[in-house]
Amino acid sequence: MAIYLVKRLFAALIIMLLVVFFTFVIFFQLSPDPAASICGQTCTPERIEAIRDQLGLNEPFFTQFFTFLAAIFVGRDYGSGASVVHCNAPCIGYSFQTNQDVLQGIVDRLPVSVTIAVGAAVLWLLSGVAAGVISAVKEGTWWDKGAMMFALAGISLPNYFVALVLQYLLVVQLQWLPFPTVVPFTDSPVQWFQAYLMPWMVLALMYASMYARLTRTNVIDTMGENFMRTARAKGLGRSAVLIRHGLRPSLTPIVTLLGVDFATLLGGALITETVFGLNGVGRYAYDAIAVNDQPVIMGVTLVAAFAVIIANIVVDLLYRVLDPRVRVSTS
Amino acid sequence: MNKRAMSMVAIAAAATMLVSACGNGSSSKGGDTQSVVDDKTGFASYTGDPQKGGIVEVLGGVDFSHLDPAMGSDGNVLNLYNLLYRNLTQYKYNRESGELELVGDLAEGTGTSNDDATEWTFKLKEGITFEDGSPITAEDVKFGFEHAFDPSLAIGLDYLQNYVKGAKDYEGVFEDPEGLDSIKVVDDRTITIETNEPMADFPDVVATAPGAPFPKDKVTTVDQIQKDPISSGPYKVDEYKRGESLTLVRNENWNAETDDIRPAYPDGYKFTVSLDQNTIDQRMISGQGDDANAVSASTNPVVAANLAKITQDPKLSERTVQSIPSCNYFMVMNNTKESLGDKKVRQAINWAVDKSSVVNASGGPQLADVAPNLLLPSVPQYDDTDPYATEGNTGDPEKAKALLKEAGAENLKLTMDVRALPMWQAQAEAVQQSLKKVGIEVKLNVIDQAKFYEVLATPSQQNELAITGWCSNGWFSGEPLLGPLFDGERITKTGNLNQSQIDDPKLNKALAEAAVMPDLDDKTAAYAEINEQVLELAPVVPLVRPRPLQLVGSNVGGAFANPSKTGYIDYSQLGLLKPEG
Repeated sequence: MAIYLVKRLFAALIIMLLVVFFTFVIFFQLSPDPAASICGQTCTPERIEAIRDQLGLNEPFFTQFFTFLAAIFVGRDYGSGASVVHCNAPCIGYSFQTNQDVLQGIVDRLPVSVTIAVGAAVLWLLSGVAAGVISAVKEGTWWDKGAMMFALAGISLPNYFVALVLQYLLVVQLQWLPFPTVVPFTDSPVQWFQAYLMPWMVLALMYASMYARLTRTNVIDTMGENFMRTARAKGLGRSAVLIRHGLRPSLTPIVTLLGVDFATLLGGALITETVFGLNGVGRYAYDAIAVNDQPVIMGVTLVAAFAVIIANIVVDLLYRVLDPRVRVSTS
Repeated sequence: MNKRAMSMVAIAAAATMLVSACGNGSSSKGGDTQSVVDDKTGFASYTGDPQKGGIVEVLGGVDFSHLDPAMGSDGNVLNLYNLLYRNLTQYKYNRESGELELVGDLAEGTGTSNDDATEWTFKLKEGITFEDGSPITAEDVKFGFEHAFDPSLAIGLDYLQNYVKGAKDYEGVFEDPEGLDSIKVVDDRTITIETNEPMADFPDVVATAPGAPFPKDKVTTVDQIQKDPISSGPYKVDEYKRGESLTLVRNENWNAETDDIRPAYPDGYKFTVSLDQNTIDQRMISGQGDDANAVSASTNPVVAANLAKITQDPKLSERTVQSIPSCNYFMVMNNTKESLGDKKVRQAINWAVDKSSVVNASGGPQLADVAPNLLLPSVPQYDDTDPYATEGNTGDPEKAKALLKEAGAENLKLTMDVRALPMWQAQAEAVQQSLKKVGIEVKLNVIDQAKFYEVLATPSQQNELAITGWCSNGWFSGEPLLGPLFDGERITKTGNLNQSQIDDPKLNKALAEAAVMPDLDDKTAAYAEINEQVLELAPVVPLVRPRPLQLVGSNVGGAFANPSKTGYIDYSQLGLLKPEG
């Protein structure tokens, strides 16, 4: 197990390095000049040069790349003399458009993204898996057909559209909810819940639809396995067979999917956060993209990639716990 | 009457013309609150007299660019700065008379100069303080200027840096604490500033945001003001959650007796940022709960899709304020391209463009006016001169064809750089259709919005045509509106603002002479002539002047469009009609 873990972590490190390299190439070498973006519409060549100097953009590519890598471990200074700006380790960039350490910007916004991800995940897991299991058990019935049609609609409708319709119905027309305004949970649990309810519903609709379809297929496949028939032949009831023997193998792939989806959301539910005005990591990226704030775009990309890689490792480890067959094969 | 006073009368006259032009008349509504509605548009000219107290909310989609006034240059952040910082001078706008007057803010007046306007002296008022109660001295004003000249901060409005002698080469107050010799502290309340050339508009220049004072002994790092602003205005920062909200509370040490520009009605402001545009409109239209105390930020005017809903409901119209034009949108024609080198071709294109179709593409006549020329209505002695005027602004294809034939330039094929934003693309398509009628084929080259200005400012990357805009940020003069855009001496390889790359010796000479005229009236007249000279040379096609709408909550008073706040609602004049709810 320890050797397996070390191997996985080593592989993750290599992948992270590759991600850093490619994002660095894309954002700093192939994108619009970040100095021109900082300088804005009313700019002069002297100012652009001064900003390029401060950001170190006049250095050779590999010097810039290794300075960036080193900053993750030891931090770095931007500029020199009295105008120097220091970015503490682990430094993944400094935004000169917001005058903020990028990592700090992400950390400040992470609680919102985590709240969105956790709440939505609970909703979509409960509703998606339940709908999928019932559809599988009632395969071919009107319930099954209706649930799967609803799932198809959930996958097909764009998030942006669902969010605006939901807001229009629940807030403007029916006035069941106020316009979302985030307050700390400790200040007002009710207002906190109201602020997050619609984002959770929007994301849950999309993901639950996918999970319902996947669960249905897996349960139907599992129900047809020999060991299920054996269990039934031994006299176990249909429900008992499903719960004791059918769900565990059916839901293992769901864990994989959940890990990756959850990690992706930590990198920001960009559209949902934007529509509902939630200041999460996705909104941070959205604002940065609008003004070509490359250190922020790159920082969010790296953190999102890091979250997905870590989630994959966690899922693989969980897999070994959940499914003895995996343990046997990898040992 | 001194020259400054005369010029202010001229501004007042121009502003009055503008106010009259905004509608056929106005009527008061709302009894005690004295709100005023424009009879022609149905929009509010004024939302009533506010009372002291309460919190005004501002709903916006974009966070403030910078809290350090040396760094921000967009209209929304300049509007915020006016709540936090004071300058030597500032604009005062009387909405009833339409008078826009430059007055002393920290200074007792608008300054006095030597004969050739190269040395300006300002006397500070008594009783002016920072938020900690310490007095604002001439030394602090000098420090504020020199702080703004620091190369790592100077990304905001650059007028002050351009005109104060030696400021362009100055390393900044942290690198060179001795400061500039050109800014002399005569005594605690008197400061003298030398300009690098005669500068009759210098009192306007010190009104720009980078001229805010800061206490010399309390600012120790280059990014301190950005993180922890030190207020000299009626409000100070209570809490700032970047990307989420900014809360201002009263600066108890602000002395109201020294400030007749900012009435400071509310106890505080709450700016909520990062909201979705549609959400802002929906919230403002619904006006539920605290949203009755809110206005939409100037960054997020009403979207065209919601216009019908507002205009069909008088109650909504009466709490909608239309901005005063402060930007010209125009089509740049790259004079260095062979196809556009001939003035006749450029004039033909000016005749060909159906500006009414561009107005429609910009949201319609309720959201944009035709731009007849390159100045703005708030510029003193402004007139609507337009050598290419046509009935209904629909253009004159026949005249255009004749000119093209004369120039031997038929069947032209041009490429237009277009910013990837819906309205800009719609404007480009409208121009494309107009030019098609005179046999000019235009290919649209849509550029990512983040890269657009970089392409436009780099002559080697420019195509033949492009639509762009240029706005005033309070200083209404031909100098900032025409100089950077049409002076051939200012063409650069990067960061270029003369994007038509017109380099006409006569025009360059006229611009150089006008800039240093010591008499303000002569200067104004010179720029009016230059405006006509530019139109005749036709390096660009003036297209539209947007007039966006801002929604105001039903309990918000003091809302009116202020030309000195880039034409939008002036946050500093807002307050609640009934602070107790």
